[in-house]
Amino acid sequence: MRTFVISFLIGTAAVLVILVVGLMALGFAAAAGDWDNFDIAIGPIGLFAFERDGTTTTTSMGIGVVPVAALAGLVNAGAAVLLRRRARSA
Amino acid sequence: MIGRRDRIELPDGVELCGEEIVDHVRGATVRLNETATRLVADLQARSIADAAGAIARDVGVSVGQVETDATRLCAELNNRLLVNIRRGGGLRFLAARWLSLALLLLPLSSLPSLPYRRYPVLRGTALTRALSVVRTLALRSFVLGCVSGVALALLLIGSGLAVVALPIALLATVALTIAAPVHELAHVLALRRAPCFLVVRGLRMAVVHNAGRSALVAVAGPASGIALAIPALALTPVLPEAAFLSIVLSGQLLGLTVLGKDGRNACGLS
Repeated sequence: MRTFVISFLIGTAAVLVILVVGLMALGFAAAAGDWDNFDIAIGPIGLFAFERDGTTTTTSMGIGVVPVAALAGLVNAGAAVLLRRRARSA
Repeated sequence: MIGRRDRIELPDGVELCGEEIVDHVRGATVRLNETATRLVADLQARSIADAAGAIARDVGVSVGQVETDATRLCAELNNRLLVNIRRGGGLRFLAARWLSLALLLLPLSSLPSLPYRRYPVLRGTALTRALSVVRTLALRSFVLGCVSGVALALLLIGSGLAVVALPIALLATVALTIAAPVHELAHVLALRRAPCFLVVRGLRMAVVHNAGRSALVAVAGPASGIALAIPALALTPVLPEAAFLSIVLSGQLLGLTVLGKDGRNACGLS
């Protein structure tokens, strides 16, 4: 259980930070590169939106980054438990 | 990949005491038999071929047999990070040997493995430790950065993105040149004053220690990517390609998952 919780927390935090930095970088690049409006979403869950209105630009990060990071954390935790079981049985 | 003309040297922190090799940094000891002790002592001054010749005469066995045994001993001790291999030839000789072995091993879908090399991390202030890490890894990181940059440029050109290939490849080169030593430096600084050493094998680098706080030490390396990604992010309004740089640098955090050795250490799997 300890391995599962630690791996889940570490995996979630790592992927959350990567997503936040990546989406911020995307926002900066879009603003600097005269990109048009766009958004990134998984079905109804929004991850990122970029809007250009004349000379002003708006970037917003959706709540979707949290479940995506949590899902990655879950995968990490599952893999950690599997690796631990395999190491014990070997 | 150890040859007849190679010698060995005991790295800082490793000592031959009687019939034992003692690693003072890790607090480990390896017991040797009489012949192995003599070989370890001889091989610091003479090549494998010369030392094997002398032992073969004294013991009355074939030189080839002693050479094989001596090479195996060197490889085993090198795998345990207890000896460094001193090359009998220059870089060109090493490259030629690697290529000839690679051709032989290619049908087996394998490549010759380079020996480990152990470098000390100087004790003292954080600055002293940092300088010793950077000095050891700077050139290797630059080569790593260049190799990755060229590979990325070729990939982008091949994908029809030739316009952005040069700036992105340059940024990747810069990112890896800086990120690799900073990653190892973060491990070393997280260890505080605990003894440790650097190990390199080809372009791979690692910090080896025998101290506690292993989760904290493991997290420190990949987390250092964020410390570099933030300034890169600040560059993005001026240089949009720096967005890619910040993504690459923050991507180091993936090393905290079970995909990376640091991540497995942090998750308590090793």
